[in-house]
Amino acid sequence: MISERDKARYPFTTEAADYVKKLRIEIDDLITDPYKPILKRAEERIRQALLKPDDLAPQEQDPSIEILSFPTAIMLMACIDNENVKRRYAVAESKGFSKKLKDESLEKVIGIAQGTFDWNIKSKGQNLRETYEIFLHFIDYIKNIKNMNDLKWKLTNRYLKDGYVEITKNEAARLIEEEVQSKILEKTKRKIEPPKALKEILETIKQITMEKPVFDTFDTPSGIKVENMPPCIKKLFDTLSAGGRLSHLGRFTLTSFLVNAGATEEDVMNFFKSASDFDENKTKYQIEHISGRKGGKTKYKPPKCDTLKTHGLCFSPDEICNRIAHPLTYYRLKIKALKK
Amino acid sequence: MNSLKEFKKITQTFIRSKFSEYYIKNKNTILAPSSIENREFGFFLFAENIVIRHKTFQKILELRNFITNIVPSDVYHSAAYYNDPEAPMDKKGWKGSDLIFDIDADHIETECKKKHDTWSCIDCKISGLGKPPQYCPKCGGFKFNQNSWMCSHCLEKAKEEILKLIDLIHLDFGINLENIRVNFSGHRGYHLHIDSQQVRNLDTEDRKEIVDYIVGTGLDTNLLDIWEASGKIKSIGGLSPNDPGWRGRLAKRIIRIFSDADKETLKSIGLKPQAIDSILSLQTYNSNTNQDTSWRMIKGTGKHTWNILIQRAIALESVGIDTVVTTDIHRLIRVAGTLNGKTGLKAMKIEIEELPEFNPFKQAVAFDGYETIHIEEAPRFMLGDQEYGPYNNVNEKLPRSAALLLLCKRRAHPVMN
Ligand code: SF4
Ligand SMILES: [Zn+2]
Ligand SMILES: [Zn+2]
Repeated sequence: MISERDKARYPFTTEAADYVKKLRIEIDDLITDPYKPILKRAEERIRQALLKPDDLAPQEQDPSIEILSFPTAIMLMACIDNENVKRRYAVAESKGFSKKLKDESLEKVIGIAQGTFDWNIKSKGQNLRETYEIFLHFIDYIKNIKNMNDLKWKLTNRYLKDGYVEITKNEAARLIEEEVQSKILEKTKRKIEPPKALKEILETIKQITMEKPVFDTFDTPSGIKVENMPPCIKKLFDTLSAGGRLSHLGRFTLTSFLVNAGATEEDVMNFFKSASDFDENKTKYQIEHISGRKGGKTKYKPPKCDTLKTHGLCFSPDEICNRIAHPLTYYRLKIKALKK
Repeated sequence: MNSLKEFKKITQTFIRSKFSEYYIKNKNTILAPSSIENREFGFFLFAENIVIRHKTFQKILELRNFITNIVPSDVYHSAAYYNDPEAPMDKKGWKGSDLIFDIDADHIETECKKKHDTWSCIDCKISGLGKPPQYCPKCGGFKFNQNSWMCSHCLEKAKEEILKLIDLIHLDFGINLENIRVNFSGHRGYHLHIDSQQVRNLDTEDRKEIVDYIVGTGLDTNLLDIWEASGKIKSIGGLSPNDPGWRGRLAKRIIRIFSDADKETLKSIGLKPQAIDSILSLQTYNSNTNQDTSWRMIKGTGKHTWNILIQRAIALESVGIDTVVTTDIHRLIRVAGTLNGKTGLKAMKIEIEELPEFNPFKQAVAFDGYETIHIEEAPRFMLGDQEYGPYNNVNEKLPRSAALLLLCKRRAHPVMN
């Protein structure tokens, strides 16, 4: 069962949404005195999510304010015209939820997964290997591992039988995070005409989004033509551009590709600034290392197609791919073909 | 003398007339895909380079009549379901797609290909045996004409792969056998369709994940928790034949490698003499006891040997599917019960129980009667119960199905009297 407190903690649940619906609050109500705290809390959510995601924590004195502040924040985000900001907001909120979910009981996690996301879960029973707690149907599983680059998530490396994958409670929480993230993204995507009543608060939020330069939409490193990239690199590039996360090998592959294709360190750096897990020092070190300025002084090349294939990073190879063994060759072939 | 072009035309007209006779008699064996009204149909015509796409049919009867009237060389339907299958691609409204797997002898390595397949470079015209190289050794070009032959050994290999695939789809992915349909393509391979509500909405990325599982891509042996017990005899832990997923498959395969092993094979995969002796001495154990764990303990081995064995097991368990077909959610596939224009054989549905015994060279034969043709060149081949060839520049009277195979393969032309 989902309690009041749970609804406040997990306002993305069906139960919380039903609660909100029943209240029948109109947008214009939000600026009236009794509802002002909701608007305030929504603003705080956004501020924390965008600027200090680690501070994101539910405020539990008044559950109804907390519950209502979530759809309100989402509505506000839908009025913001910046995909990168929306993505960051979604990532931060969903991460916050999954962190808390990991401390909940198994029953609660399963309850939310089934009740809100309609997961097909087999009654946890016998035959689960120690350390695993849930049988999740493979379709729900693969839908939610798209952004995971760690090989441990690959279906190939899982126990799969009769259509079900064995996962732990923490893994379930992590997969729910993906569900929530796409739900928030979907809801903030529809651009709505900013309601007059919210003009003032929207100004404040725009200010927040301008506090960090990284929220600017970024440019492709100069001199690199996206349309000439091989499909695998394009995929990594798109993932990062959309605010997604890359595995270690994925990052290495993309960085070394860009450097070898002629992008300057600075351009690559600027590009990585848009990454959702951007860490300035680490990224800088990596780029310098790969381009051969630090360490061994050799310029690192991206891995061969074979290596990318075994790590599942080779994505929808096309006809040109049949003729090459290295992604850089692809790029060069394509440039050559265009010059003709 | 007839020019080459005229020969080609005469041959096409001839094949078409035989196809026409076939469809008039057998059109009722053409099978409809589910939700026929939401599928796009495509047709190749005998007249060169003519393709009809974006066709729809409300009923199987309409499709059968259409085929009988226009007599195409090949017939396809979309794996996808569309709101408006007749609209141009971007306006069709994708509603979902069957999950499709294609196993084609072209993608399976066999020794005999070096005997019966040829290629020639489009630029400089030099030719060779087997699969075309990456680059032409003479001019460096990369476009080739391929001339492949249907061979019973290659098709037998393809069948082994499809059986492996069914096993995996059923046991690991839990797909009911009733939802799995297997078709022979009428040429060099098999198609497997999963037609179930469950998989229809999977996007390309989801399908890629399934493909990776089937091929064994991304399998990380470090994640398998394989551990090595120290002591005099190193034993391996973490893999058990009862494990679900790839672990169980690997364990079972390794046991099979051991029990089937001979010295030469083990040597060829890179094992050291001591390990080989140790494996061979275990053979009796493996076949005699059920709950045997002796396969884990091999004298003179360490992680290195186990890695070789695991890599070998991965290669053998991996199913040789054409990965591009599965991830393409707009793919067209051959309609069961139609003729394959490359061979004159039937593309046909096969019941899973009958698959192990299925012989395409008998069951997919579509014609009876005889035909006299002029054969330019053809290797020895089997069809029905009979062996034919090799031929070189001769006139022969052959059973019609064999004659059509050679005509479709452009190795022969009709004899005019
Ligand atoms: S074949 Fe090579 S270049 Fe093409 S997508 Fe795969 S890894 Fe990339
Ligand atoms: Zn050449
Ligand atoms: Zn062969």
